[in-house]
Amino acid sequence: MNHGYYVIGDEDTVLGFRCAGVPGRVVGATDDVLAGVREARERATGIILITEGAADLAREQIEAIRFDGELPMVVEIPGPQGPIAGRRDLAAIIREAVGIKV
Amino acid sequence: MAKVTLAPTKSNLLRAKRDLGFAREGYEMLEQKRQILVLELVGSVETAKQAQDELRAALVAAFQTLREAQLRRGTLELARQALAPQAEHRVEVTTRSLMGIELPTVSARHPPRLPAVGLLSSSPALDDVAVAFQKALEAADRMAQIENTVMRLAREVRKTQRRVNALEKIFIPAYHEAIAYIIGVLEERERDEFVVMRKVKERLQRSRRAAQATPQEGRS
Repeated sequence: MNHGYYVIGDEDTVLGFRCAGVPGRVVGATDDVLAGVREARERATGIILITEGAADLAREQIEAIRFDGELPMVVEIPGPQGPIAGRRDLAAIIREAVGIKV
Repeated sequence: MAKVTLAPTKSNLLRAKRDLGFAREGYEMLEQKRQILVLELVGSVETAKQAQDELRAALVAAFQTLREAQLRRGTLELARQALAPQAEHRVEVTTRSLMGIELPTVSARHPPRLPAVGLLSSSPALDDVAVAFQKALEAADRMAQIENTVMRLAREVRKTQRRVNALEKIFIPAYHEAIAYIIGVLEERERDEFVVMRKVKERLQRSRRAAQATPQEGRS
């Protein structure tokens, strides 16, 4: 089964990826993010790219999609301003999830 | 603490011993599984960090290119040209199995971009942007795969850990306790029986002696 990509984020991010042929949605509020996720699902998206800023708007829903082990997969990407400082990285998430240090 | 309650009989003792052996075997197997998963997880985390760094670097470069193009051509024109039809990126997610856990493998097909030749203008700047973001997309593929792998491994490790703990801290001690209890009761019963048997024996001997004595008296 073949799937596409979808990008959710700020104007620049969406524009940049659109230049590379990836559809997307510019979001500014939680509802936009959820609408973006809905549209991504309708397009049978395999991987959703979402900027950290956009993911923060709908943190709970995004985490749920991220951890459910189903398609679409979610990859958080830093926005044009670069990675937001002081975020938990993957290792930290694992540490919380498993309670083991890796 | 879970308590194994069994009637203290010989057959239950045998059964409890068999169950204990089974629990131990299960414990060892799960512990092995846990170790393998943790090893895999530790390895994956390294790869994940690497993938994350790559993705970040690719995006930094991509945004840099985008900014340059915006300065040179203007955001509006870029946006208009970005609407040009393009070959679609496709991604396929298959799974491989590690100890019964499905781990995703992402294989993507990124078609080479059609050069952006418009009716009124063509733009090498846009091509640069497209190439840069396509690189970021490829980095995102790896990131998606490794991140999901790590998540699933982590979840499985936690599940296995819980089972290992349950066997080690609850079931195995409970069976030990049950076995000790049954053995205690059986031994106690044996001692009781021993005493009873001795009493019976004594009584038998006494009556036999009495029986032997009486006829002799009668004959003499």
